[in-house]
Amino acid sequence: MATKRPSSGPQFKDKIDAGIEKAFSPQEQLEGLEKKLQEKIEKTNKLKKKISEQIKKAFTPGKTEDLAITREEKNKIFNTLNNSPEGESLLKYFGINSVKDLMRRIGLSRIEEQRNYEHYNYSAEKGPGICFRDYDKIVDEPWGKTVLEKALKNGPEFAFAFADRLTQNPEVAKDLLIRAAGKAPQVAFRHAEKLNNIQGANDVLIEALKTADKTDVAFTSFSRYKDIDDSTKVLEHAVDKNYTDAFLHLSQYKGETEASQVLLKAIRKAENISNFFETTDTDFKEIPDIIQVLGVAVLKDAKAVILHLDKYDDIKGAASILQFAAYTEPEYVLTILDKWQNLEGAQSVLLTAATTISGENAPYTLVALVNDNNDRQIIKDNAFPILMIAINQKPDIIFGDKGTITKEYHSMLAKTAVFAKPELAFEHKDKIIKLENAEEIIAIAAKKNPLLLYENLNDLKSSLDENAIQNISRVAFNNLKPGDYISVDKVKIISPHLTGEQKEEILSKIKQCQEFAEEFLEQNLNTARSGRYATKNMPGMIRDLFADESLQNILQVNPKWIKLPNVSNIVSWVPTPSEARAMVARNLFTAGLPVTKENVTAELNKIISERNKLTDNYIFKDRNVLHVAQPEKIIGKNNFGREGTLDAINKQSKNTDKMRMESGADLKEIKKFKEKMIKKIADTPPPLTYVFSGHGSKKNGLELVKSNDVSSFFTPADMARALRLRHEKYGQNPTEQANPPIIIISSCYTANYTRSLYQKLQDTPRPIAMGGAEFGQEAYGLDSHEEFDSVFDKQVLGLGTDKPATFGTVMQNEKANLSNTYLYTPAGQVI
Amino acid sequence: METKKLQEKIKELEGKIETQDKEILLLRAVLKAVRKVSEDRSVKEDKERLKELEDQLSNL
Repeated sequence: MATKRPSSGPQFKDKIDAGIEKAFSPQEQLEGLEKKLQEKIEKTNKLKKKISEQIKKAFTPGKTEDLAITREEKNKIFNTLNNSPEGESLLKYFGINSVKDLMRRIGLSRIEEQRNYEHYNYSAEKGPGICFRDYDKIVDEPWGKTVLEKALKNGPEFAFAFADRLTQNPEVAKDLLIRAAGKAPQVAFRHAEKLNNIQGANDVLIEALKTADKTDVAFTSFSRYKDIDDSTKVLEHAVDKNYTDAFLHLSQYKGETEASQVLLKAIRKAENISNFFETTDTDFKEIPDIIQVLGVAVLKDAKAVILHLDKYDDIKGAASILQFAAYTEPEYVLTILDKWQNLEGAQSVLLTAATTISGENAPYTLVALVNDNNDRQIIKDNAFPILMIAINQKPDIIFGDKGTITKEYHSMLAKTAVFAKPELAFEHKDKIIKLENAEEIIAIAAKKNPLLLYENLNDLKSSLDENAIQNISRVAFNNLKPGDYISVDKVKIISPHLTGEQKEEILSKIKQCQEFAEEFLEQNLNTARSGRYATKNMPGMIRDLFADESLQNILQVNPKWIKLPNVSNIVSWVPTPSEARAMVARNLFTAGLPVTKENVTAELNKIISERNKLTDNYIFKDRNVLHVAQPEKIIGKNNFGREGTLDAINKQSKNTDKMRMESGADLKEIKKFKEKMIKKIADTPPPLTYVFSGHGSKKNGLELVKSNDVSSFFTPADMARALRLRHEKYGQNPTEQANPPIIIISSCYTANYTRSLYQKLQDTPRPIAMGGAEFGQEAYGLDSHEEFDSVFDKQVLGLGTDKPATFGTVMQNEKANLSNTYLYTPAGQVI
Repeated sequence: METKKLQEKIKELEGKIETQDKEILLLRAVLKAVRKVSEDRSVKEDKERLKELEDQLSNL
């Protein structure tokens, strides 16, 4: 009988043990089992330790570059178990379903964590690249940032070598790279293509540029980082540091959309742009917007660009470049234009240059250009328009001795001359009569200045036939404006030439003008018949009122069309009916719009809406004030910029900068003061309020100091220049855009000044402007014992009260004693 | 009653021992697999990776 061999292993031993155990009492059995369990637990722990040692042995820190058990290796362990029937049942028994469960069960997670820290901490010292390579794995570990800091210190260049792996935690990644850039700027650019997915990569490279000693790398490696956000900003920074590199390395980025933007910046920065053309051997056609680039270059140095223009004569738009040049170097362009005469647009270039030539002698230069260059085809072909430009600049030139104009053009040119200066039609009557279109020319004068025609009508009767005289008289009559007949003297000139019907019509218009003027002066100058105004007679005041060109269409504005909102509360200030009528008339005249019911209603609504918009806006509070006062003393005290006015403004404003010239300043000092003032208007941070207190002149503007020289005035052109400079500096500034400059002038004729300023500003945004004297009116100061400069300051601006001045304050007080306030906004007159 | 309690306790301990036995079996299997994995990570592979890293570093 074969003996059954006992099977080996714990099962068999346990069976024996169990048999033996049964021989013992339950208590003894229990003790035995407890002992046994303890032994097995110890065995389990030993095994766990063994596993741990095995792992540590196999992957000792620092021994290899790849210490951690990889995910694949973990999977392998799990799969080995899972693939054997015994292993599978064990996993099932313990409810282990994943690699993660298994690792936790055998205590590997903790071991691994500790091991990872040791490994990366060691690497940060000995091989920092490893830390950046495994950045994503370690950045979010509790010790991750400390280790990365250490790696950054020991090997900043590796941050760039592995920059494409820095995808986790973008903020930490960007911060590390920015600091690495400061330490290894050149490496940053060499590995720039790896920054493509880094948020704010351009900041990293800009930081690199700050420390880099050479900037060429920014251009030469552009193709590596051109796909990062706002990549051209990096180039622009490089240009800031060294614009020459932008020229030298143009070929590296010429095809990029923003290349022109970079180039523009370099050209603007360049002291000498001729080296741009000399050092650049690039095909310009590949640069987008090259015309714009060359256009800016032309503004800087037209000659340098034109000198090299034939290099690029096949580029579309060479004419545009010449056109730009015609603005900056007109004389030069006129001398070289023959070479380009077949270019489309050459004629326009020629005429731009001719128009741009300035100075006293410009018209004579143009006449000479035509007379002396009969052999130059382009000049010959354009002789007439060139002469037209000359005539527009100096109409008299056609009738003068200086500069002979070819007779064939006289008829046409005389029309232009008389249109620009109607009095020429009568001053040079003898010459004009001989021209074939004499009647037409004189009719032009009659339309432009009907009163002048009536003055000269008797003289003309001997030279023109009756029919022509009648035609011309009719033109004159139809174009009469209130200013032409509002005074007795003027009516005396006109009336002898009028028919009975015409006389009645004029009388009716005079009556309407008077009615308007009386109502206007009554409603808007409540002291019209008292105080200082009493010295002026009513007809004189009416005459002054209608001297305003922009009021000439007042009678066409039907008073019935003026419908003002009801004032239901104290803050809704609305203009008086006559004031509204005048404002509408003026605004339509300025805008060149016809007087129709629709236009009147629209303009009125615009005025009311502008007033509502402005009501609560501060004039001084939260603003930077520049206060300029004329140095004039009365009984030893300053007449302008008095203490009360300055203190009140100072109290309300964010900052008040005061300027006053010394009395008796010489021309050099005046010039210096004026330039300083222009600079301050241009540079004072927004929002700006500019105040001038001093005398005003109808002709020249603001008197900075008493002097015999005209340069002592701050003219509208000077102010326009200052505001243009300001716009260049702050035009894009949101504070400036939301709070345009305010200009306050409490001088005589200040509305005249503002209107002229607005014209001179052209494309520059208009400031808000206000003052205490309407068109053609004088402003009044207060007696010398008063602490404020004027009624305008004290009452209209409310500086005599504690409340900060708003536009609502001005609307409320605009008709205060002796004041005659106006307020213009970019939209037109609103007070 | 006393005996019954003891028998229950014995049963409980027997269960624990069985589990511990299974855990020992599991750990043995894991240890075997870990050894295999560490062996698999051959020196040759290590060298190749080192070389690759050196190349990267020398390119900096």
